[in-house]
This record gives sequence, C-alpha cells and structure tokens, in this order.
Amino acid sequence: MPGLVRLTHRQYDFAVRDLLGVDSNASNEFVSDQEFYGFDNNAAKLNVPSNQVSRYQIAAESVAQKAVSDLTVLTRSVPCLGKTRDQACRDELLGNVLKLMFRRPASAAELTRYGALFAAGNDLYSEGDAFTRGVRIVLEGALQSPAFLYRAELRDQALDGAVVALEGYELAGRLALTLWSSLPDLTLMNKAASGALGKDAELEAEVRRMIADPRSARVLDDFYAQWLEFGKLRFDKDASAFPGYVKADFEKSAKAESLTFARNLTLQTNGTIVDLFTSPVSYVDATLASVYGVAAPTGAGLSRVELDPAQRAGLFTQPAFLAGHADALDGSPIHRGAYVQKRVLCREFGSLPANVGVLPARGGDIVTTRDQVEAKTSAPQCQACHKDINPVGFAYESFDSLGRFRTVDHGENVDATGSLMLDGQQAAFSGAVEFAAELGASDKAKRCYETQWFRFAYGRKEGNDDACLLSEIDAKLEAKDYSLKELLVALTTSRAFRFRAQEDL
Amino acid sequence: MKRAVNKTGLGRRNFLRGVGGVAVGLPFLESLGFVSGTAHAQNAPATTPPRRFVTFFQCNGANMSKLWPTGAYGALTAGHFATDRTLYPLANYRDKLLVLRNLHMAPKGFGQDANTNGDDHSKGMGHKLTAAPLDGSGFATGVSVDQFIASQINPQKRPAMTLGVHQSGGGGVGSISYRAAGQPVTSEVNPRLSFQDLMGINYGAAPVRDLLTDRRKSVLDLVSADFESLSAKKLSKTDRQKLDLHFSTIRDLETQLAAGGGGAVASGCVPLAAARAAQISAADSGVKVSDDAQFKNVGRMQMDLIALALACDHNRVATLQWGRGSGGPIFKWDGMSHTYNHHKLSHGNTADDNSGSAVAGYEQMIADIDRWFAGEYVYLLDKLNGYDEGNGTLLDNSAVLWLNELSDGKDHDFRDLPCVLAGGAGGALKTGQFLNLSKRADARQTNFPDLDAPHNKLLTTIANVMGAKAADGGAVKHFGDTRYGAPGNYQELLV
Repeated sequence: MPGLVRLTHRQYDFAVRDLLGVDSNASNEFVSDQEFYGFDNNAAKLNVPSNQVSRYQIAAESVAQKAVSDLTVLTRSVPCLGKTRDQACRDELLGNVLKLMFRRPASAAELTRYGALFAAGNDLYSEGDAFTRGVRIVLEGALQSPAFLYRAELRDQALDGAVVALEGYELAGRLALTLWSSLPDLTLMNKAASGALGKDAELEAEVRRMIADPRSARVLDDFYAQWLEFGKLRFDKDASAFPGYVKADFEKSAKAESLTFARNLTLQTNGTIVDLFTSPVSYVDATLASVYGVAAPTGAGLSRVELDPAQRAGLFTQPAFLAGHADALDGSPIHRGAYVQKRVLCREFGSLPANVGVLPARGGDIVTTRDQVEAKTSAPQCQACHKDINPVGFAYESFDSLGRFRTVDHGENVDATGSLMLDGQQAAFSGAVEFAAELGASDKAKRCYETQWFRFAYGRKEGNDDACLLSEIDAKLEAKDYSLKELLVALTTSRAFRFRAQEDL
Repeated sequence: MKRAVNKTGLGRRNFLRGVGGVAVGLPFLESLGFVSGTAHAQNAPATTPPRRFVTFFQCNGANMSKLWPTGAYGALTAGHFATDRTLYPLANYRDKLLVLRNLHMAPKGFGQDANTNGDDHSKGMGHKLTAAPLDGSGFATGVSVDQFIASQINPQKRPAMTLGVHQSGGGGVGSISYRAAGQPVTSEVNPRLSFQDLMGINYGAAPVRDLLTDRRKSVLDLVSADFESLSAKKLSKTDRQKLDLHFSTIRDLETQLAAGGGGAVASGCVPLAAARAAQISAADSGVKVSDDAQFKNVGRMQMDLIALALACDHNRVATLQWGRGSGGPIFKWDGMSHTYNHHKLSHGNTADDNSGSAVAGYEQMIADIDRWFAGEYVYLLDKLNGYDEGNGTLLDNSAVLWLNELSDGKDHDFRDLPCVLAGGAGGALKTGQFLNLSKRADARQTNFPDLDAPHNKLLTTIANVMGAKAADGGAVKHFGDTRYGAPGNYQELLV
C-alpha cells in the first residue's frame, strides 16, 4: 500500500459537508479519476494532475466562504464558536479543525503557522469581522494542505517481518475514510488517542458503531454504483417502440432502486450475499412499477414491494441491470452475460478478436435475439468465451429492453434455458430465477463479491499474498451466513486493514 | 522558499494589447520575466519563438476512398485538393502541410504484434501517441509524446494541455495522453474549466483581484510549508514522486502569482476578446458540454484556448481529443443530419454492438464527417496563423498533427492512417509535400510483417524537431516501446 493516498473526490465532498456543513459538490469541478480493476479509488493511481491543483484552490476558496457564512455545523466541533470568540477560542478552533481535517493532532509547528495565517487573514478580506476572516483563511489553507488531501500512513517501525501496525490515528483515518467516506468524528479520534483501536473487541465495537451510523450508506452507494457500472450503462431506447419512455426519469429511478435495495439489505434487514442475488423484494416508484407490472405506489420516493418470485430474483432482474445492458430495441444477452461473468463471477476475458462484425439479421431460421447470438457465436474460437457468456445472457431473455417480463420474442416463445460450468460443475437452469439461485449457491460468486469489496475497500487489486486473507474473510462470512454487514466488519477488522506492508524507501 | 522571478509591474498589459488584442512579440514577454526566471536562461535567446506541438485527434475510422489528395506524390498543388476530397478545406494551406500516407500504427492492430493487449479501438487510442502496448487494464504502458515533449520544453516543465470534446476518461479507450506508463491523463471537456485552469482566477474585475492575489500568496506560502514538512519524512520512491508532482505545481502557482499577480496566464496576457472570454466562462451555463449539440461549440472554445495558451507561451504542447474511441456524437449540423452516431456510422451499422443492420449511404456520411473535421482543423490553423511572432506566424513555429484513431472504421484498420501535419516547426519541417512513407510497391500490405512505415517514427521525428532529448541527453532514437515500430526519423519530413 502506498504511504500517501489521495482522498477521493467523494471523500473531499463528504469531509467538507460533515465538518463545515457545506454542500459544495466541489468535486463536480475536479478532474475525474480513471477506473482501475473496476473501481476509481485505486490507491496507487490516485494522483493530483497539475490542473487539479488550481481546482483544489478554487474549491477551497468557495468552501471557506460558504462555511463562514453559517458556522452552525463547525460549532459542533468547535463549541466556543457559539460562545466567546477570543484568543482561547482561536486556539480551540485551530486544534480541533486541524485535528479532524488532518485526521491527527496538529504539530506545534503547524499550530504556529496556521495561527499566523489566522492573524494575517484580517488584512486579506473585505467582508466579515477579524475572527471570521481568520477562520476563513485557515480553512482555505487546510483544504489545500497535503495533510488534508492525502491519507498519510508513514510510521516505519517494522514489527514482525515487514509489516507495520497502523498507529492509532492512522487507523482512525482509514476507518473513517473507508466506512464513512469522510473525516473521523471526535468519538473516533478519542478512541484512537486512548489506544482502544488497538484492542480487538473495542475495534470491532467501534466498527459496528460506524456501520450503524447513517454515513455508512454513502460507502454502500459508492460501491454499488461502481460495481454495477452505473457510469457505463446506456438507457437510450427507441422512441417508437417505447412510447412514453423518458430516459432521464427511467435511469434515475432504476439506479435509485438498485442502490436502495442493496443498502436496505445491508443495513436494515441483515441481508446476505445470497439475498442480493435472489430476493424478490424491491423498491419502486410509478416508473418502475410499470416495468414490473405492479400497481403504482402512492406517495413520493420509492416504496417497498414484493415482486412475483416466479419472475424476479435479486439485483439482476432489476431494470438498472436489464435495461442498462440492452440496446434501443432489444435486450442484449452478450452484454448482460459478459457483465455477470466479469463482475459477479470475476472471470477475466482477453481482448475481443479483431473484426467481430455484426449479429446476423433476422430472417429465415434466425427469429429471436437468442437465434442471432447463437448464429454469431457458434464457431469454436468464439465459444471459448461465449460458452460462459451466452447461457447467462439467455437466462435474461425473459426480459425485454426495458426489463419487462415477456414470454414471446419476435413471435416465438422465449427460450431462457442455459447450462454453464459453475464451481467445477455443469449447472442447468431455465430462466433468471433459477440462474439467480445458482449464483446464490455458488462459491465462485460469493468469493468474487468479496473480492470486489476487497478492491474497493482497500484500493488495490488482490495479489498472491492476499489469498489467505480472502480465504479468512470467506470463512468468517460463511459462519455468519454471508451477511453483507458482516463483510464490512471483516474487511475493517482484518490484519490487512490494521497493518500495512512496509514499502521500499 | 525563494522565488527566482523578477517582480514586474503590470506594464505587461500594455505590451500585449496588439492589433485586435493579439499578443505581440514574445521577446517582450521573456524580457519581462513572464516566462519564469528559472527558465529564463534555458529559453534564451529571447528572439527565437519556441516551437509548439498540437495534436488534433479524431476518433473512429474515416472514409479512406475520399481522404487522400488526388494526384501524384511530391509537391502539393491546387490540383491535389479537388472539391470532393476530404482535405479540400485545407487547399489554401498547402504550402504549410505535410500529408503523410501509409503510416501504420505501431504496435500493430489485428493482433499482429505479440504481447499487445486490448481490442482495436483501445489500441487505436492508446498506441497512437505512446507507440507502446496496453496493459491488462487497457492503459498504455508508456508516456505519450505530447507529455514527453512538454516535460522538457515547457515553461516550468508543466504538463501538456490535454483537452477534449464530448466525453473523456472511461478507460483506455477514452485516453490518448499519458504522463507515464499506466497513468492516463484525463482530458478536460468543459471549456469553462479549461479556461479557469489557464487563467487561475475568474476572469473578473481588478480591485478584488489584488486582495485575492495577496491572500493566495499567503495561503500558498503556508501550504508549501506543509509540503516541505511532509517531504521531510521518510517516503517511498513512488510516494515521493507523487508528492513532488503535486508540490511542483504549487510552486508553479506561486511563481505565477509573484510574476504577474494573476492567474496561470499572467493577467496582462489577454488575446481573447472580452466577449469570447465571457462565452467560454459560460460554456456550461444551461447546457451540458457533453451534449451532441455542443460538440462544435465546445471544440471551437477549446481551440481558442489552445491558441491562447500557445500564443502567451503558457504551454507549448496541447492535445485536443474529439470524442472518444467507439463513441462520438450524432452529427446534425453544417449540412449533416444523421440518425446514428459516429461510431455506428464508422461501422456502417445501426448499433454499436454490431447487432443492428446496415446503414444505407454510411460511406458518404463518414466522408461528410471527415470533411467537417477538416474544416475544424482549418479553424485551428487559422487561429494559430493569426499570430505574428516576428519570424513568421505561430503556425509557422508549430507542428499541428491531425491523427485518427483508425483508418477504415468497419475493419478497425490500423494501416494507411489518416495523417496530416501542418506548420513548419520553426523552419525544421519541409512542408508543402504529399509523401508516401512506405518504400514498398504495395504499401497496403496484407503481409503484416512487411509493413514498413510505423507511426512511432513520426513521433520520434516530432520529438526531435521539438527539441526533446532522450534520457542520455542525445536525440530521441526510437520513441515508444522499442520492441515495436522502428528507430529513426522520417528524414523526408525534415529540412
């Protein structure tokens, strides 16, 4: 693991919101990060390109200005702001703000220079009183400081072999950034200071407190949006085939549904990995209700609904997946199948061959989408990959381009049967619900899901050295029926999380 | 923290408002210490304007039957630019052009080179400026030529400007510029932000700016101290590189503040008309810059900013990426009224995933798109040609490379790449020619090992013309991964 890891843009936004009450979405203006191994928070790749530096500068100025216009939220961390703003309060401000923003107590030198900056602020603004100007300029500085922008884990005293224990504050920083996508609160910082985080039972208790805190929902949303590849889904549909379809509304509802489903399973109903793949419960609005063929709910937002378990099971019979991996007129077995293989079964594919060409046009024996795909991919060199892609994709042929259930495709009955090598055995299924049950029963699927979380939570691709860790996590989870919440606990109390390999200097 | 720059007054503003607001005489800029003091000695003698390199990058394939000039290889004449040819809009620039045929991409496509990952779109994007193969994630395994050159010849060694239109990022197939192996540079597609990056502060009124400038100096002073403190700790090599990259930009900002009290481009250097600056500052007001309808608008704003940066010598290297590999807008302007987007037309198909049906007349649609891009390339050339630098125009001092991701789009072909170079690069390039860079009778080889005009040699040539050096301090011998392509320059391009 690198010793310096830049905050993700989301962590920046949430830090600013939690500490200062500023809803800046500053990161909308930041240079986007690229995706590595499925996620955009790869620790080794996160960097600050040169144009990003001035974006940080402008964001810092804007955030600081907004923060001082309403100090209510900051006052929770600096209580004296609500009482007397004197020299002692200045000291309290500097101590607490820098401690929280830097995720460690400020050094004497830092307190001195930020104190000098505070004083200088009086001559550098045209609005606000002297104290407010001081607050504002200190925030501008701290928001651009590497101590804020980078997670620094630099203790180099090796313990056993070449691993280093994260020192209390370092672990607190990691916990907050991983479980809340934000800064630690004072409770967490105090536990770090007291050494509590070094004790197994206390660490676990704190982790559970953090997961139960509303801030953990952000991390779940972030993970699922990336794992489900929300950024790559396309919802363009043919207007004449789907009259009344409004892309923006559909996309928004569909994404919200899948995120809510996953979040509630994890945090509210102690759901499991198996539930993710198989649960027929979901959360719909009027748009989604029409996809499912159920009554539109009354009221705003999403309402819980129990879908027909003969038709629907889990995330991959939801419209975000089905419609997002489809084209303008039809579903796409190849896209749906390839996604599930890559992200749910962690199958690695090589490059597409050159000159793949088009699916054959419909006509003669080629009637359904399945016919087209089979005709195109039957050659042996295609089957090397398509024997794994196609059966999965065909299981979803019971759903059209929007994700609506159907039994007929271009005049012929839908054939959603398939057979796939899974966990070393041939698994046969008819339709998406049976396939979902196979996923739920599959060790590969569970291990893949754990691996995806590993990459996201640790910001790196699993290496050979991680095989033991991943096995341990899997074993722990098996003992807890693969609870989604317990996975978060396991990831943040593991040895890999509490120690880091010493890098070559 | 010592600042090695002359503190000057704002008299610069007077020098720079030349005819029509055009920046006048770079020697004035340098003598005022605008090109920062640390680079002062390296950029001397002040009388020779520096060379610039711009890449104008078009994605997907082209209509190869209409692309190349009609007529013999050799000196370009009016006859080469018949009205039905894609390059017709470039007719008036023929004396400043090099039209280069039969380049093939190195590493090759179609799986013809060993150990090359990625599909042909990803390769077409990732190999183009790097001449290096892709890693397992689809990212190039080497630095791109624009960043390579920028890191050596730019003021403050700042990175090249990396701008885009429509969509950026999105993995290897979205990136052409790389700061290092596996480190793609995300292109900026919002002209408001490109402008902001360049100007540093909002293009606003003067009085507030003085306070802002002083404030920024104080804040950056403190931030630098924080960087010094962190740098003093024991850091791994990669961590130190990461931190140094960030810190050097902080120092760059401080230098600019000290030099001009303004933003990234000193406040006096304003060749953009105020009305245009206002438009660019409002580029995303009420519209999304990624909308198809904004494609041309955004492209032209980005080109204006490239010209600004080059003319003011804030940056000497820029890349403009139009769209991304396997993407692109639906063209519904300037006489075009298509139903399918660029990628689909590049395949002549109604679907991106080749599951649709053929689009009748797609070849002409692609030719129309190519021709439209030729017109936008001319817009850029016109802008650069509008600056008089004393020894010629800014265009004369530049090399402006128009490159494509692919040649034939349907096949994802990597041979006979569309390639036009404009500008004399300060007298180094022998312009006015239509060249066949292959020495073989049948240049368009079906025997892939016989392909003899790898595009990496073009990158080598450009790097050398721009004055970049190899690690040993000598000329660049073989740009890109040395397992692919070939060493040396294309001598026929050089004076």
